[in-house]
Amino acid sequence: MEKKIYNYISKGSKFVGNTYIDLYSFKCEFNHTYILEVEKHNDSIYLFQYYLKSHTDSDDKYSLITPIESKNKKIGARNFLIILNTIQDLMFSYLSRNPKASFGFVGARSINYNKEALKTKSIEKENEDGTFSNTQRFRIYTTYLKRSFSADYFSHIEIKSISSYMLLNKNSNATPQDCFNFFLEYLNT
Amino acid sequence: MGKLINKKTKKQQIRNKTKKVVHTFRVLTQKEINETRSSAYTFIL
Repeated sequence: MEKKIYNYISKGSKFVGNTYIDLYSFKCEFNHTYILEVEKHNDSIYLFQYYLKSHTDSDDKYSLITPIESKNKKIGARNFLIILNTIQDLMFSYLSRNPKASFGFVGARSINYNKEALKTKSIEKENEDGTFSNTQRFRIYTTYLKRSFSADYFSHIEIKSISSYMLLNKNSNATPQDCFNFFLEYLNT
Repeated sequence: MGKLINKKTKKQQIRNKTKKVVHTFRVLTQKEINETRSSAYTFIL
C-alpha cells in the first residue's frame, strides 16, 4: 500500500551563518502549516528539522508540542506518521540527486507552552553540559528510521547522550567517527 | 524593529563548556536494528 504523504512545496533557500538551508512547507490534516528545513553540511550530510509555522519566532520552536486543543481534541498519531512519511519522501528526493547523501537529526526536548518539560514515559535527562539525552523525539524518530532503513545502504549511528542519529550513506567517504565529531561540533558552535 | 535575520536557533546546544560530559556513539548492527523493530514492517531501502 502506498504511503500517504503531505504535498510539500519548496520555499527557496537561505544562508544562516555558513549553513545553507533549503526550506519547504506543507499543511497537515489539522490545517497547521509546517516549515521543514534541510541543512546542508560537508560530506553530503543533510540535517532535517521542522516546526509549526506559527512557532517560527519562538526560540523553542523545535521543542514546543502542538496543543491537543488545536487538533480537534485528537492525539494526532496518524497525522504525525504522515509528517514523518513526508520527510522520508524528501530524503529520497535528496538521495536521487546525491547518491552519497547521509541524513541526520537531533531530537529536541519536549516542552509545553508554559515552558515546562512534558511528563514523558522516560524522563528527558539534561546533561551537565546543557544537552539532553534520549529525548522523546529521539526515541520516536529512531524507531521510525529503523523501521524503514536496513543496514545495507546506511550505517545507523546513534549518539543517545545528545539525542542525535545519523544514517551514514555507505557510499560516503565519511566515517562513523567523522559523524560523531560532526554532531559534537554542531552542538558546540 | 525588524526581525533578527541570520539568527540560528538550535534544538540542542552544548551550553556549559566547562562541564566535560563524555559522549559516545554506537554503530548499530542489522541484528540490533531488527531487535528493536516490528517484523510487520518491510525495509524501504
